[in-house]
Parts: sequence; C-alpha cells; structure tokens
Amino acid sequence: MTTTEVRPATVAPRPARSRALDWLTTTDHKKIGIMYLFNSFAFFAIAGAMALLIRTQLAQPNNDVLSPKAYNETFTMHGTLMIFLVILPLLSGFGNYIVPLQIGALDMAFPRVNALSFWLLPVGGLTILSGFVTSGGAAAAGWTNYVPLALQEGTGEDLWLLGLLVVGTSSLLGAINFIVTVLRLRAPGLSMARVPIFTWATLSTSVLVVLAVPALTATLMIVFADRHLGTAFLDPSHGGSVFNYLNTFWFFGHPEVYMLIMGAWGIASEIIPVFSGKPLFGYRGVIASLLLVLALSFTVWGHHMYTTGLVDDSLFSVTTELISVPTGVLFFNWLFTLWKGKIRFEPAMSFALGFVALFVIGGIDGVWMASPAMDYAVHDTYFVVAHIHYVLFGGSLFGIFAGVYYWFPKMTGKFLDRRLGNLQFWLLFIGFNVTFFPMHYLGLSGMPRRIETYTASDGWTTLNLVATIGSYVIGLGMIVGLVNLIVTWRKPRTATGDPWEGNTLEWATTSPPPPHNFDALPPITSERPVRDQRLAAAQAEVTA
Amino acid sequence: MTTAQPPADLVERHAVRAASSAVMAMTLFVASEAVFFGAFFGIYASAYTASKVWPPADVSAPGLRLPTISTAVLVFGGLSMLLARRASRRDDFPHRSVAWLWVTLASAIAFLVLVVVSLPDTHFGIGQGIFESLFYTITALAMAHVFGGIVLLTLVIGRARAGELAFQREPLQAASIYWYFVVALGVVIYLLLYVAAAD
Repeated sequence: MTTTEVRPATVAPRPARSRALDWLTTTDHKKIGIMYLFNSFAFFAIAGAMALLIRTQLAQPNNDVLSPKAYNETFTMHGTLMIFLVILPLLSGFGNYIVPLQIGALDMAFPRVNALSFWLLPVGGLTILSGFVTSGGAAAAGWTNYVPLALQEGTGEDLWLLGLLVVGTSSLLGAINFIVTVLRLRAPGLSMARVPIFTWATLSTSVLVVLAVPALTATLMIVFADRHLGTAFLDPSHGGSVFNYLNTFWFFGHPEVYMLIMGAWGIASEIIPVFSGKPLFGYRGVIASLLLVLALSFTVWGHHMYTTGLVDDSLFSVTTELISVPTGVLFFNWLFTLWKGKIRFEPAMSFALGFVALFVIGGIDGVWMASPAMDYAVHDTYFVVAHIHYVLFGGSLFGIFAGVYYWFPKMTGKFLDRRLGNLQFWLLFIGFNVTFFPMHYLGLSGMPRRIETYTASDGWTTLNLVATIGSYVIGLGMIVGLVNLIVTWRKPRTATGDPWEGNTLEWATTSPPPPHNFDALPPITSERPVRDQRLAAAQAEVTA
Repeated sequence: MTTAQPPADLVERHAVRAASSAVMAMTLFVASEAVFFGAFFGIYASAYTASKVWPPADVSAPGLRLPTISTAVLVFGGLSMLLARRASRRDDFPHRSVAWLWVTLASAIAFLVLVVVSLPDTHFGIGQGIFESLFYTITALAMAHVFGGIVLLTLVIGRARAGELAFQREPLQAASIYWYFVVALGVVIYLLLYVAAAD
C-alpha cells in the first residue's frame, strides 16, 4: 500500500510550489535536519549573547550591568536554551541528516512524525523565552529549577515548565523515530556490527531519551501540580519532600549529560579515522563503550546529591568512577587511531582534536568530583561551572563544530573556507580555555555558582576579568564562523560525493544527495563500505 | 544533482519495512510511559518507606468495592484485546477481531465511568498530604491513558471497517501493546492506591 504512495512521486513530478512552502511542509529527513541545525543555531545565538551578558556583569566586582533578577533570568535561560534547544537538537539535526544516509535508507521510518518533532522545538523554545514578556519576568530558578525556588516564581516559570514539556515530547518522538529507523531500515548487508559509530551514538542517545526524558516530564508535572493544583509532592509540611524533586529530576538529569555528549563522541569517531587515513582503532570496543556508558548512566544520578545527605554517597561514588572506565576506553581508541596516521589538519580535524583535548580535561574534573570528599569542597562553586563547560562546550560543541565542517560539503555541495575555519578554531580554542580554565581556580577559592556579583575583597577580580576577556574571544570566533557561512553561501558547488575520502555510506552519494538519497548502493561487507569501494577501484586500476 | 530514480528494490524494501514498524515504535513508547509512571511510583515508594503507617494516619482509606469492579472490567478489556489479537490470525481478519475490539472499547468506557462514579467515595482533598496528592495525580494520569486507549481503539476499528486493515495487522498489534500496558498499569494502581491503603 505504502509502495504505491512512494513510487508515483518519483515518476510524476509534483506541481511546482514555492520554495518556502516546500521547506515548511517537507518530510524529507535532509531538509528537516538542516532546519534542526538552523533553528538550533538561532537559539545558540540568543543563549550565547546571554553568556556574554553574564560575563560582562561578572567582569568587575559590584557591577550593575544586570539587576540581580535579570541576572537570574539570564543564567537560567542561558543554561536551559543551551542544553535543551541547542546541543541536543544540533546533534538531532546531524542525526536527521546523516543517520539515514549512513545506513543506506531512503528516509526516516516515520517522516511526518519527524517533521512534528522538529516543529515542536521552536514552539517549545519560544514558549520558554516568552517568559520575558510577562510582568513577573522569565523563569529564574536555574536550569535545574530547584524547589522551593521553582514554587515561588511567577508566570515565567509556568511557561518554562510548559515549554520544556513540549521540547521533551519533541525529543521523545525523535528518539523513537531514530531507533526504529536504525533497527528496521538498514541497507542489505549493513548488520549492526557494521553500523557507523555516529549512528550507534545516535541510537544510544535515543535509548537514553526514551528511558530518561519521561522522568523529566514527570518532574515538570509535579512542580506544575504543586504550583497550581495544590498537591503536596514537594511540601514537607504535608508529607512531601524536596527529595521527590531531586530524585526524579536527576534520574533524568544525568543520562541527559550523556545525551548531550554521545553524539559528539560519534562525530569525533567518524572524523578522526578519515583525517588520519586509518580505520578507527577498536571499532567494536567503541560500540561496547557506548553501550556500557548507556547502561551505567542510569546508576549515577545520586552524585548530584552528595551534599544533601539523602543518598548513599559511597555507592554513587563507585558507579560514577566506573562510568569513567568506558569513557577512558574511547580516549585510547581515538589516540591509537591517530597513532602513526597520515594526519590532515582540515578544520573538521582540528575541531575533533580540540574536542579530544578539552573533553579529557572536563572528564578528569568529573572523575575528581565523583569523590564525595572533593565534591563537598567544590559543590556549587565555579569549579562545577568549569567542569560542565569543558564537557558541554569543549566536548559537545567542539564535536558539533567538527561535524559542521565535516558534513557541510555533503549538505550543500560547498566547502566552508579553510582559512576562516582554522581562524575560528583557534579563536574558540584559545577563547574557551581563557574563559573556563580560570573558573577552576575561582571555584577552589570559593566563588559560588549563580551569584550576580562579588566584592573586590573576595579576591576573584582578576580571574573573572580574564574569563570575561576570553568570552569575548569566543564571541569573535562565532562571528568568524558566521562570516564563513556567508562567504561560502556565494561559492559554486565544487564538492564531489566523497571529498574527504570517507568511510561511510553518506559519501557514496552526490553532495548534496538527491531527494531519494541514493541512485545505487555499494556492496557492504564491512563497517567502511565507501573505503572498500575506493580501495577496490584503485586495485582494479593497478591491475589494469 | 541527479534526477534518476531510486533503485526500485530499495524503495520496495523501505516501504514494506517502514509500514511494519508500528509495533516497534509502540513498544518504545510504552517503555517511556513505564518510566513516566515509574517516577510517580518511585515517589510513592519513598513516601511509603518514610511513613510509619500506610496510608499516613490522617487518611481515610478509599472504599474498595467500586475500584475492584472497575479494575476487573479493565482486566476483562485486556482479555478481550488478547482475543482480538488471536482472532487476527484467522483468515476472516479483521472480521472477528473488530467484534472483540468493540468489547474492549466498551470495557474502557465502562472503566472511566466507574472511576468517575467511585470518586465521591473518597473523602479527602488533593492537597492534604502526599498520599492524597499521589492518589489524585496517578488516577488522573491513568484516566488520561485509558482515554488515549479509547481514541486508539476507535481509530483501529474505524480503519478496519474502512477495509484498510485487510492486509496489515500492525495497527491492531500496536494498539494491543498499548492496551496491555494500560491494563497492567490499572492493576498496579489498584494494588497501590486501594488495596495497600485499605483498613
């Protein structure tokens, strides 16, 4: 039945529609993927501007660029947008575009659900942001939305809760779609033991979404019910407890961290082998590590609650130390892939190497804080801010930028400018470290998170100023990236189907691919079918 | 960009496999639903362990008679869904399956009516304590899920009557997975909110 629906589209051309309408009503995974990326970068610009506001406020002691209330709203929205509307949807955007190509499929399993997943995102994001136009202002309880703060807030908080419910629904629908697509629509010959790592990473992320996001939904509902329906979930005077919030929130919250990083691991695992001219070291080990992290990520949520006295610190300390083992295995896989490789320093590779370097710092911070003794000392200080940014910016975002430079020719047929790309990399790499490395010291010297100002006698002035200067360098790096995009827009399409000498099936079609993705698929006998085909062709040439 | 057609065998394979993926998608959705209710059961568990007596001393236990009947009706609906799935293997599909789906639909509606009728028997408000909050929230969410089941069943019956299911059983199978989940949920809720709270 569905077959007859698919075929006529390729035989009889549809009546011409306007290009805008075509994009607005598309169910093509490639167009939806690009819309995911555009939408997420738009929210990225907003959330990034907020970060600069935060850093400007903290540049000097007793600064009054932002009022305390405005400061609270700004850091709440910065965190919320970056986590829920930037990093995860950026990875979903790549997933949408790349995963069906990597598995040799013609589209996602449920294209219309896919379009719905996308369109829910701007709706949810704008709902969250619309708090700014209410009289009480936007939500200001931090992205963790801790109670009792969350119960005291105004209408902005309700919009935050509702917006996140919408965004969560979007993630859930998208995740189910990814899982079904990968499990059901792989090309003949592409067994799970030959599926590219980025697709494995998207699959793992999607499993995390399916099993963790519902806990967030429950958490949001509990807060909403306590605020408006008079329930007592979080009210200790009526038998409720803040513990109910912390437990359900962090049961979601820690797998969430892995949702935000696994895709970047996948991107790095695609790029490093291609630009080292070698196969990925330990392909199966990488998959095993991903699956171990997936399983363990549901056992570590209590490490966010060491200082509450409500959890067994030693138990969660052990599970948290354990999860660093498969993560460490990944580092060795990347390093051994580089070892004796013919390394090409394209911007995509620079960002991937930057990702490895920065993520290892964030990872080691995390291992330290897995120890309750250390965590008690630095809990709720800037040390944690440094850690989360090394993981989510140095890790996830550097991985995402690597993906942008790597897959841009596939998506558009055009190469982003190499020199501007390298300039952007160095500005971001230097700016990032200048901004966030000093925060370790600020944390160790006791500067708490979320404070809107400090006094000169606290001794935090110099490092805060350094961090602020670094943040402007990051801002400059982002502008360079935007310029690169605009410059490239006017260039002709010069990219071949396989411009980087890639391994995986997305390089077996034209750049950009036709609407139906593939005219023909190469034979698939390993996890690197395009490389196999290239080597076979070279071999045939030699023998001829 | 090429204007060639996709290989016909790939199109065929894609269409067949995408159309038969509803069961897997529903299984994943039900897994997420289980986590969602698991969060509330987790709160129940921590309140239960924190309380010396259960339900907490000031709660007047809700009556058992009507909830027992409504849960039995729900379980009966689960059985009729089982029979609808069995009948789907027969050659006259979807003829007899639809008859059992009507029975399931009727039981779902009867369940909702019985729950609404039994609510005046509960003599406590939503904000009096943690048990009361859990009681009303979980009940409301379960009713919403039964309602979702009614919508799903109506859609499947409608499609079957329109002749759209003659060659595919997946929509019925997917609906049955959802419905089994709702029935199991109803039984757990009955045990936690009524039996465990009975005097």
